[in-house]
Order: sequence, then structure tokens, then C-alpha cells
Amino acid sequence: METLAPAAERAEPAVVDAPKERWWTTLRTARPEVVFVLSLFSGLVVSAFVIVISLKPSRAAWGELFSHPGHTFSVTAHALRKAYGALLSGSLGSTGAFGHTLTAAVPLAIAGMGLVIAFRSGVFNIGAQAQMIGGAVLASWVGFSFGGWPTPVHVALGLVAAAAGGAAVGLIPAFLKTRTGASEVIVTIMANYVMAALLVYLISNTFFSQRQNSSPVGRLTAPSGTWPSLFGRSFGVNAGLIVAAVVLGGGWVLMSKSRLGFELELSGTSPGASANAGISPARVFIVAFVISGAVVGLAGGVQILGTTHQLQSGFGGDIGVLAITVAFVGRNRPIGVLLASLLYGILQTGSLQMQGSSGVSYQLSNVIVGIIVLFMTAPALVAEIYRLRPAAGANLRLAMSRGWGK
Amino acid sequence: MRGAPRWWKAFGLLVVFAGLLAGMAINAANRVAILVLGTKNIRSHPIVHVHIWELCTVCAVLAAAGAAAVAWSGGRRWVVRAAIAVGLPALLLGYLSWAPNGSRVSLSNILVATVSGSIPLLLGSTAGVLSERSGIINIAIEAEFLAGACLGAIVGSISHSTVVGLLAGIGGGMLIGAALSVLAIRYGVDQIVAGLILITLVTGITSYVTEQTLNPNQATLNSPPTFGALRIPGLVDIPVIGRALFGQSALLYLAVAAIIGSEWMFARTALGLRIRAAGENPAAALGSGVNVRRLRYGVGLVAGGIAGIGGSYFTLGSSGAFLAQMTAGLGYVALAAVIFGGWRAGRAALAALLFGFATSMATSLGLLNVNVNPSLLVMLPYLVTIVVVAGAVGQAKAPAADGVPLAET
Repeated sequence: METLAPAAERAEPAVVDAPKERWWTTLRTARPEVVFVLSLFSGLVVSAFVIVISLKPSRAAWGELFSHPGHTFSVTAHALRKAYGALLSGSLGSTGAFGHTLTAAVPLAIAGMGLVIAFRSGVFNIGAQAQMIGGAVLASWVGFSFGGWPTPVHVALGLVAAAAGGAAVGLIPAFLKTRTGASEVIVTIMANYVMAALLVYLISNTFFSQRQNSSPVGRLTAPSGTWPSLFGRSFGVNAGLIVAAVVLGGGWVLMSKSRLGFELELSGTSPGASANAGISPARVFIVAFVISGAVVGLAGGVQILGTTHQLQSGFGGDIGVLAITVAFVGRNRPIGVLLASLLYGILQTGSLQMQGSSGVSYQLSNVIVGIIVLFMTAPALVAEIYRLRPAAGANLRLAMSRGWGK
Repeated sequence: MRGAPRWWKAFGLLVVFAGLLAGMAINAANRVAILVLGTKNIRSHPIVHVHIWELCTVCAVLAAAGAAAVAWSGGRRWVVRAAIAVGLPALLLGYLSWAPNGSRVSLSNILVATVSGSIPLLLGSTAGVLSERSGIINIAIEAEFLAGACLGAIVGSISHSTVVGLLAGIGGGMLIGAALSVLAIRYGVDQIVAGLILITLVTGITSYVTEQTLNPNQATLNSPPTFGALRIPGLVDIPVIGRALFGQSALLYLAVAAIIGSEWMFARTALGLRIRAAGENPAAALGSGVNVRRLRYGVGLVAGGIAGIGGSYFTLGSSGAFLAQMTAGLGYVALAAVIFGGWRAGRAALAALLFGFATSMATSLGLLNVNVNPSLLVMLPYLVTIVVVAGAVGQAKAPAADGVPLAET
């Protein structure tokens, strides 16, 4: 079947006689990279307003704008320099800080890639939190109950369990969609709440619970199942980094180099054509949900076995939401996911130091992320604000969901 | 599933309900449930002693009758829905009387909690129906709830007035509604994506404001006055249902007005017809001179305002103070009510009541000493949503142009 040629052979014909673009013209064109930088810039600018309004000294200084304008600007500049300076130094300022940034980025990159696989297949998987919990619960069980096994076997087993748990949770919305037509958007969102409640139940009332602790937490992973740290203890990065690298690379191979990935993506972008080519939409739905769920489940396993070592209530909530925006900001590409998760790692890690040294709550990082993702998904808005020229051939619109339809 | 009739799921579900109830009736032996028909003062209200097996049998018969009606009517849509809407509460009522051992079960209290728990869902689902009938998928109800709750609490605290707070809450909802409309209509962003992003952004901003500003100034910025119960004289004294329907927060009556108003608008007015046209066939609407864009912007604003009232209920209507992420996904539940209600305001309201019942059930069962873990009970409304959405889809159709940008039609 010629219609199923690998993705690489679909490359658009090269434009031979196009005039060479000047670099400043490139910078003023609505290319994805330009839009990304401008979105980041806009996020920081809007957040600067939020910082100034929410801090007492700077708010007071703006009250004296007309009597002491110099004072107003110096107080504002000081507040912003302190907050954003702490954001940077807390995330990139030392090897230890950079290690924390990488550690925060790893589960985001893995879960983000898992969601990208679903989004590119036309499957709207919003259930990253549920699938991470599924993966984490099984991985944690392997982690604390198979103590004493050789470390390589134990770690590998934990990985397999995490993937299986995530895939199992991912199967529920896939099954309901193919059997009853229930919108996967609603089912995956509801699954997040159900799994969060199930997690609380498991760690407070079952053998998962660490009983001597008064607040509900899960049992600690056995030493043999705990992931080794890379590059020495002070750097603080565990073997999850390798998993993230493998997942991003594997995701790229799957979606851009393999026949299965091509079928998934064809079904996502043009369902009619793919159905005509003999690709079953139900099969695509189930396969995409299982792969995506398994990868997201890995993120849960990495987080449990590498970083937190035990289940806690609320696990996966932040990462589950952020992973969706990682996929959006990364424009559904592995390299984009890598950059977006690094950026989020910087924001998350740096915001903790920002709270300590400048009194701006760490929650500001979520505001910055929200604005960045808002601009990234509305490139036409960025193009209008910054008067960018339309980019030739670049389809900036990120259409993914298919409404309530099939 | 070739050969199986379309209604086999609903039929099977109801048969299972009836079976469970019959099992409870047999298991109940001679135990007696004490049903309290009032709430305020137990002594002044009638108390009924009912044999649990009788109650469970009645409920089982109701569920079985629902199953029979479904089969007999050949799975007509409204029969299926009515049967589920009777069967599910029957199952839960039977369970509620069977599970606790000798505790008092107050019917009136359960009904009061059902209706009050449904208020935000009623408003949210009406907002969802409005914007989806005009062709904009509104997943951002959760964001409109959060914005309404947060602004309502802050402005209510500063002004010491529930009404001013409510107006601010409406404004907050309208702001999000406007943002969604602009993203969807002007910039052509995928509507589900736009909704999710607004939810992320509003969650981030409200959590930040809570941490940074509200928590240190709890007394001045985050302790708004709340709407008391508005008792309608005479009607509120009707036994069992009186307080649930006629002794609630003023916001309930706003919700009822919104539901009746939108049903009337869609059924009787030219404006309703234009909105429906914009959602079903925007090209034809454009051709007949309807300004579809302007219509969708207007509906988005009004829907945002209505959802903002629903958001205000979380703070000004019930608990007072705003907490980060206090809406706990109820915006999505309201969205599910829209789907289960087949994109009709009245039916969506019934679906919202069903979810409100599941929510109040979770709390009622938690209060009685029922042998079920409270963290499992928390799941109940979300599980009911999944089951109901899985059962309902395919029976109702979304407006044809729901979620389709105007440029593509």
C-alpha cells in the first residue's frame, strides 16, 4: 500500500528559488521558535505586573508614582531583580540547583511525551494524573515488597510495573470510548479524581500504608529498588534521566520513523483518509491510549522509585496538569517536549528559592506557565501583539480535539 | 454487538439495581430504619419507622419497573433516562436505609443536601448548554467557577455585601467567558484546548493570590458574608420536600430562573432560534443575516456570567472563604450534565440534580456510620459521572457545529 509510506518520505518538495531570508526578517516571522521566545517573554512581563502588585513595598511605591517617580522605579526594579534573580540562581546557579532542575524536568518530559503520542493520534488524553498514579502504585508495590532482589532486576521490574499500571488505567477510557462512545475528555478527567481518591484509600487503609505514621503515606521503597543516582550524590540526579532520554528518543522513532506511528498520526490528522486506508479507528484509539498510558505510567514510576520513594496523597496532581501544557508548549514534538520540560523544571525549582528570598509565592511559576501556554496555543494572538509576519508554510494552529464527535 | 438492542446497557443496569435491592431486602431481616421527615427540630417532625425490607422491596420494584418500561418502550430515549433517573436514587436510597445499623436516616436532610449540592452544577450546566448551543464548546466552566468564587469572596469581603460580591463573581465568570470566546472565535484556538488552558491559568492565578495575598489577610480579604437561606413562607413547611425546594440559598432561585429562562428562550424566541442556528448550521445562519460571531460573543459572556454565579455559590453561598482549587472538578461534572442532558437546559438540570444527589450521598453516608471508607465515598460523584456519560453518549447529539471554528464552515 503506497498510502502507508514512512513519514520521512513525505517531506515537502524543497523550494529551490526562494530568496534568502535576512535574519531580522526571520525574527519577525511567526515561526514556532519565535512564537516560543515571545510567549516566554510575555509570560515574564505579565508575571512582573503580578509580582509588583502582590508585594507590599512595590505596591506602596507605585502609590507615590507622581511624587517620587524615581523611587517607584528603583523599588520596582529591585523587587523584579530580586525575584527573577532568585528564580534563575535557584534553578541554574549551582550544580546542585541544576540537578534539582533536571530532577523536576524528568517526570514532566516522560509524561509530556506520553501525552504527545496520544495527542498526535487524535486521542485527547487528559488523564495523566490518573495514569501516573496507576504506574506509581504498581511500581511502589514492586519497590517495597520485592526487597532483597538484585538491584538491576528490581529496578527493571519496577519500570515494567509502572508501565503496566499506566497502561491499565489508560485502557479504561479507551474501552469506554470504543464501546460506548463516551468522550475520553470527560472520562479521563473524572479518572483523575477517582484515582486520586483511590490513592488516598490505598495509603490510609491497606497494606500500602505506612502504619506507624499518623498522616497517610505509603511504605518506603526497599533499598534494592531505589534508583541509583548519576554523577555523584551532590548532583542529585537519578537514573530517571536515562529513562527520560530513552522515552524521548523512542517516542521520536515511534512517531516519525515507524509504520505504527505513521498509522497513528494519519488517524489523528485525517481520520477519513486513514479509515479508507484500512486503519481501524478503534484499534488506533486503544493502541494510542495503551502506549500513552504506559509512558505516562513510567513517569509515575520514575517519580516514586527515583525521587519521592513513597506514595503520598495528591501524587501526580501538579505533574499531570503540567504535562498537558508541556505537550502544548512543545508543539507535540519530542524536541519541544525536551525544551518545555527543562523550562518548567527551571521555573518549578527556581520558584522555591524565589519564595525564600523575595517573598513571592512559588505558585507564581504556575502563573508564568499558564501565560506561556496561553500564548503558545494562540500563535495568532502573539503574531498580532508583536506584529509578526505570517510564516510561509508553517501551520501554527494546534488543532487536536475533535469536539464531542467520533 | 450486532443484534443487541440499543437499550441493553440501561436495561442491564436497572436489572442489576433491582437485583442488588432485592438482595438487601432479603438480607435486612427484621431491622427497622427510622426515617426522619424533617430537619430543623426532630421532635416537631414526623418520624416513620419502616421495615428495611419493605423499603428495599419498594425500591427494587421501582428499578424493575424501570427496566420493564425500557424494554417495553423499545428503548425510547426519555424512558431510558427517566428509568435511570428513578433507578439510581432508588438504589442509593435503599442502600442508605440498609447500610447503617439503627441510625436515623433523615430524608429531608438528604434532599436538602442534594439540592444545595446541585446549585453550582445547575448554573454551570445551564451556562454550558447556552454556549454549546451557540457552537462554542465550553470546557472552561471550571475556570469560570474558580474565577467567580475567588472574586466573589474578595469583593464580598471588602464591601461586606453579598450582592456586590455576587456581582463581582458574575464579572469574574464573564471575564473568562470573554477570554474563551476571543481565543475560540478570533484566534481560532481549538476550543477544548482553549478551555483547558484557561483552567490552568485561572487555577495558577487563584492559587497564587490565595498563597500570596489571601492567606496573610484572611480576616479582611477572605471572609465574605454568605447568603442565608431564603425561606418562602408557607411552602417551606411542606413535609419532606419543603426545605429542600423552598428554604435554600437565594442563588438556587437564580439558577431556576436561568434554567426556565433559557428553556423559554430556545423554545419561544427569535433570539433562541438564531442561537440554535448558529450552533447547528452557522453557514445558513450567516446567509439569513445572523451575525454569528457577535451572537457567539454575546452568548459566551452571558454563559460566563451564569457560571460565575455558580462559582460564587462556593464562597458566598456556602463556605465563605475561598480555598485554592476548591471547585474540585465540579465544573467538569457540570459539563457531563450538559452531555447527559442532551444539550437541553431542563434535562441538564435533572442530570445536575442526579450528580448533586451522588455528592450529597457521599457526605450523608460518610456522616452515618456506614462501613464504607470515606476516601472511597469521595469517588462516588465522579464514578456516577463516568457511568452516566458512558451510558448517555450516542443517545443524544451535540449541536452539529459545536466546536467548529467559523472559518471552517
